[in-house]
Amino acid sequence: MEVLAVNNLAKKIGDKTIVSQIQMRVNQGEVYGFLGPNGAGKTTTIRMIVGLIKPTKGSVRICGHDIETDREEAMKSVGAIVENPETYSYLSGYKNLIHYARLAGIPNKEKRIKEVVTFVKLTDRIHDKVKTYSLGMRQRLGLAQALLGKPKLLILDEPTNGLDPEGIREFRGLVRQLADQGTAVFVSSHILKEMEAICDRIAIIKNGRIVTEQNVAKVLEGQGQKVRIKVDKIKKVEAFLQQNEISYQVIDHNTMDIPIAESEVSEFVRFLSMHNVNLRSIETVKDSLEELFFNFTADEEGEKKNA
Amino acid sequence: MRDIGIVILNEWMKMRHRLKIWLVFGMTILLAIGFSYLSFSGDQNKATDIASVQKNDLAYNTKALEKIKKNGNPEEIKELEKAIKGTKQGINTTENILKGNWKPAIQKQLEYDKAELENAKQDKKTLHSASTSNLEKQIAFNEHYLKQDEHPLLTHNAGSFSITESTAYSATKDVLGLGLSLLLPLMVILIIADIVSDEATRGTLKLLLIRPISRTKILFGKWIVSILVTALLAVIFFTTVLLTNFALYGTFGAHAPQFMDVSYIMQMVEQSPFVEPQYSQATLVPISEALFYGFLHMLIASIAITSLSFLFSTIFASAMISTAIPMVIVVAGSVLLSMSLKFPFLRYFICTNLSFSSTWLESTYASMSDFYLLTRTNITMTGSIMILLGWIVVPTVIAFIHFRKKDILNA
Ligand SMILES: Nc1ncnc2c1ncn2[C@@H]1O[C@H](COP(=O)(O)OP(=O)(O)O)[C@@H](O)[C@H]1O
Ligand SMILES: [Mg+2]
Repeated sequence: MEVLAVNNLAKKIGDKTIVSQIQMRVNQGEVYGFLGPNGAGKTTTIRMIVGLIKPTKGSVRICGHDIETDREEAMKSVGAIVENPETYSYLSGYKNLIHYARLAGIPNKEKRIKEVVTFVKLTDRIHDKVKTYSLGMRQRLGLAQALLGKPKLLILDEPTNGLDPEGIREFRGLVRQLADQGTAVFVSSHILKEMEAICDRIAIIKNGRIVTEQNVAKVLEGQGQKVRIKVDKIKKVEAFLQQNEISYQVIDHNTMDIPIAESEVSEFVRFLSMHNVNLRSIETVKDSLEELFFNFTADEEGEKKNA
Repeated sequence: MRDIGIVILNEWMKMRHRLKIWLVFGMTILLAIGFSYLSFSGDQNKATDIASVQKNDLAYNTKALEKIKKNGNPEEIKELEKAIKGTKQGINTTENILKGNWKPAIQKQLEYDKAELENAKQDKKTLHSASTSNLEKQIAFNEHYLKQDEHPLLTHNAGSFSITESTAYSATKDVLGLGLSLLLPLMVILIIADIVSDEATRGTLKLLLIRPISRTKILFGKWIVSILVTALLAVIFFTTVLLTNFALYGTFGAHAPQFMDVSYIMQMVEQSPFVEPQYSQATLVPISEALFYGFLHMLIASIAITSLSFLFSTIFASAMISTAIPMVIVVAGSVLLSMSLKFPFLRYFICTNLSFSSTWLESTYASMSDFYLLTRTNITMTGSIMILLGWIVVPTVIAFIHFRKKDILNA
């Protein structure tokens, strides 16, 4: 089921186009990564999705409800952190949650608060004032307030900011658990490494435009094997590869990557020695997701420039 | 309705967990007590003092008369003799009131004053003068006491000014008159002017506005809480001043006469201007009733300040700016009003209408400048309340329209 549909969204402030042509679909139980460098327009897009700012163009539908014409209905299905999860620092974590639970119209508040607090592991400190919390604890409180209303769509804007590696690992676990329960999770980040492990799909935004959207599993699946060789007569190898129309990538004056499967490695080594090429080292390498994405974006940007 | 109730609960929870509101309440109480006490210790107009003032007057005038009796200006002599006669009559009345024998004394004083007024009106020189106005006032007051059948307050009518025995009520009127144009508005601003902008500054506004409750309802809840807290502050201020003055003066004097809605006309007497109060067109009520209206008025005036602060709070994302702007308006306004500016439109200015004692209650401070009398005091209670209602409705409507569509970008 489609939980979030973003259609051709654009925002202009003054003469400056912050984002444009944003097109996204997020389904139930899916974790959708929204990736881009700082200032790319992630938060601006999220603000439009939750109705904090009015799109200049385009529309947002959440569970079929238009955010502009049917905001209250739409927001019933949403829990969100936008930018930093600032809560009332002069109140306790618990009072903060009471505050948000009232606004969400949650029946049996105390019970639900207890559930989410346990879920984000904040039980020990929940009655302390938020001003005594660490950044990581504030993130957890932010997550807790977003989860109060059992949202169908959970929007998290850079939720790993301020978390230590252990916290990030824990956070991934929580997100996976929520997605498995059917929640659609829309999570933004500027660090791909943090995203690849939890996201089903990833969109990359640069300068206010989505440059690519990829299915993570498919990208990883389609990723070929590569071997990295170090040789003395690199020109000779290049000539051969060109003859046989095999693509390759020169890394430096004596190193190159060649896309061949592991099963073909021994044959390739034999071939090299036959042609008096001295093989100094050989290893199989895998592209990180980052590189793959980098290739995509580089390609598409290149295409645009050419066009 | 349920949604708004929820927002009100939340807003009150947030407000009472901040130190600020308690500091403001505490400060208001302390200042109310302090002002009342200061005004009490500076206040000499007690019953016995009026008697001694009258005696001093008599002694002074008698001496002066002796000096000029032989070869002085006959007109001056006549005037002094008249003054001595009036003071003697006053001393007589005072003594009788102090003895508890007030009714015949007041009746006699009334007859005397009425005759004096007749005379004064015949004479072109005294037709428009402070002493004639004072006579009119004294006649009205004494008739009021007879009608109420209540013990009169002692007055000493010394021609150009008159001292009246102070009571908790008159002191409350004076202290409030001082506090309303600056103190209470500033306290209201301190509490209200960041009710929205504080959330923008802290960054909590965005998480507040992504709930399944419309922005209008959230703002409405905040507005209601602002009004309630303002009303609470006004009640605290009023009650503290009144109770302090009860403690200082006792509770006597609720029935004392108080003019409301006195208008003033500028008269030229021998090339010099005289601002004449029009007592015949004014309303005379017991001072307790006037204070009740005064309380209503200060409530409405405070809510007007609240509405203005509320507007700035929705416009600016900085709590500091949204607090500073209404403060500057109130402070600059009170400075502006103490200057002798003669712009009739200033009567529609919010600061002009903040203090009831300078607008429609005849005030002890009202003789400060001609402008004061002509452009400000000629506002009636109803007129002032109308103007204030405008200051409530217009900013509030703008605040709601603005906030409903506003892009929440930086919070
Ligand atoms: N109020 C504003 N007026 C003009 N430009 C803004 C405003 N707020 C943000 N921007 C610009 O919009 C761009 C996108 O910002 P943002 O959505 O916060 O990026 P991200 O969340 O991806 O880091 C930035 O270049 C930023 O400078
Ligand atoms: Mg951001």
